[in-house]
Amino acid sequence: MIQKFSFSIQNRNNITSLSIYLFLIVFTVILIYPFIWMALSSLKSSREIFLSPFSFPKKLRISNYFEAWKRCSFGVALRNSVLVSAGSVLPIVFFSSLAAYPIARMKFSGRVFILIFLIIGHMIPLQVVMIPLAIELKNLHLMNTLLGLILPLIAKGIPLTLIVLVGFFQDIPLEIEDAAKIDGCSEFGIFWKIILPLSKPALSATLIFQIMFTWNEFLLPLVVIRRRAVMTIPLAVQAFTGQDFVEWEYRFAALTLAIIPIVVAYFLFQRQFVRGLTFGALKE
Amino acid sequence: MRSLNKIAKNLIPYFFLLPALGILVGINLFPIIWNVYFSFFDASLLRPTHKIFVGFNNYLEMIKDPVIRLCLRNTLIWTFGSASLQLLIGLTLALVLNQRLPGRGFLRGMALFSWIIPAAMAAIMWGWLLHGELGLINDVLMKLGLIHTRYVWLGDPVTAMISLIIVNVWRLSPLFMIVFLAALQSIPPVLYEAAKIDGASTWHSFRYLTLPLLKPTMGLIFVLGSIWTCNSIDIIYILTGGGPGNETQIFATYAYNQAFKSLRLGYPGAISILMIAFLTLLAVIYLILVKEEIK
Repeated sequence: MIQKFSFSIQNRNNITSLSIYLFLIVFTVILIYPFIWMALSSLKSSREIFLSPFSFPKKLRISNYFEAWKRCSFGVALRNSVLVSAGSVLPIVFFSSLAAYPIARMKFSGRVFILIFLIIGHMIPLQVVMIPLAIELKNLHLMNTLLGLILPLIAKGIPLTLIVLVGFFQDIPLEIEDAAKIDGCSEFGIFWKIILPLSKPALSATLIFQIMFTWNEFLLPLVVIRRRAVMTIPLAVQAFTGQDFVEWEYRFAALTLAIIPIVVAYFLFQRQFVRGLTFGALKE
Repeated sequence: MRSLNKIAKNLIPYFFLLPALGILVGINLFPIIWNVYFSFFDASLLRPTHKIFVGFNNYLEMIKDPVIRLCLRNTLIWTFGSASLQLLIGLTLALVLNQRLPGRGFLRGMALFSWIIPAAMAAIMWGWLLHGELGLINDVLMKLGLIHTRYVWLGDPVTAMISLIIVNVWRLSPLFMIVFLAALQSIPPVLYEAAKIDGASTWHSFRYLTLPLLKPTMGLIFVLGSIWTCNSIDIIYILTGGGPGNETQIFATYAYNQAFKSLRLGYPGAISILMIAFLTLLAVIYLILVKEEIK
């Protein structure tokens, strides 16, 4: 009796764990296989891509990548993407931390109003203001320039970064500040010498998030940029792969090239990525 | 002198706020006000200064425009269809991965893969996967014997919308999973031990312990996911461009097309105002949820 009972439990456990594993394998395949297919196809010839979609390439055609790099002007796009991300992320984090400091730690009139304005600013996307923004940028002669991408990206990044930093700054004990005040430290001194160094984990997490968001932005360049010479990677690759006359192997190679930098960055900074999410990048 | 000092001291917070708020007012708030103003005019986007005042005509046109009705239907299906599936799949995955399994760390690491790459690039990749001749999806389904001829998934209104939602769910479900995992891990294990001592089954402790504790997270992520999806234009723009016909057009893509393809100024402005109203409604729900969370 006892034996039979324990057997049935074990049996049930086996079936559950088997189905759990099956479920996880299916999930992993659906998640990862498209990338494997893309990477393998990028090393094949057009004929192979169509005739044997699942197979490993007969000969690794690394030259596909050189050709795609050249024809897509990938080097220029890479440079533009780096400039745009760097040029927008640093101001985003600096301005946000400046603004987060009084919101988190001072009492002043209009504080609640500003917080609500920020949250709504975070919810309302760029595309609902796209038309006046395009006219505004045109009047400022910023269409087809990298600065025309950077300024709107700064505005786009500030609300979320600010909300996360406010949450973090609030958790720093006020006593630290009082001690500094007695020593005659100015408000900016407290911010610069005490609050910022203590907030390094939050700053690095928001920094990495914003690098990703600015790097991946597609709609804004689509509106602002028409010239090849100022395109960022997503737009340049979309423009290249969208042409009907381009051979498939080069399209696959260009798309793989577009994904490589962000994947490398992800593996290097994986801890910050996951931490940034659990920090309340989403919660607040 | 003392009062001057006091005024200067009261102004300090605003100095800190100035750069961030200045940019937000210039690039977010100012264009929104401008948008409201434009929505009462008719003009070409190429010559915005040559505009004619038309009163509420743009709004009246919206009521008559059959595409707007399609947009409303599609926006609702696209937004809430995606968000519900993401919630369901994300939660299931989180519950499975919350158990001690070998390879869990690896899976958790890989999970965010679909989210970190640019949505536009993921959309191009899926466009090829769904492609009639090239598409791997057709190959797989034919090998499984589910279909007999190659099918153009994005060519039919119904399968096009389903495909778009699948791509979006593929992209964001793992993100939902990570958020749920964090929430699950913040539940003290003591509670489960106590439930076990009281004789609760696995199902009961899930139904009466895990689920109620996850409810706030579920509400928040559902609203946030809806806002993200409602705003995201990349996937639809690249995969169908709103087509076939206008069958997968949502407000965001339609406003974009009206502005930058038809080069109109006032009408897409009016559509944007409608979108802002819809999003503000979602934002208010979000704020109420956040407030309860804080309490």
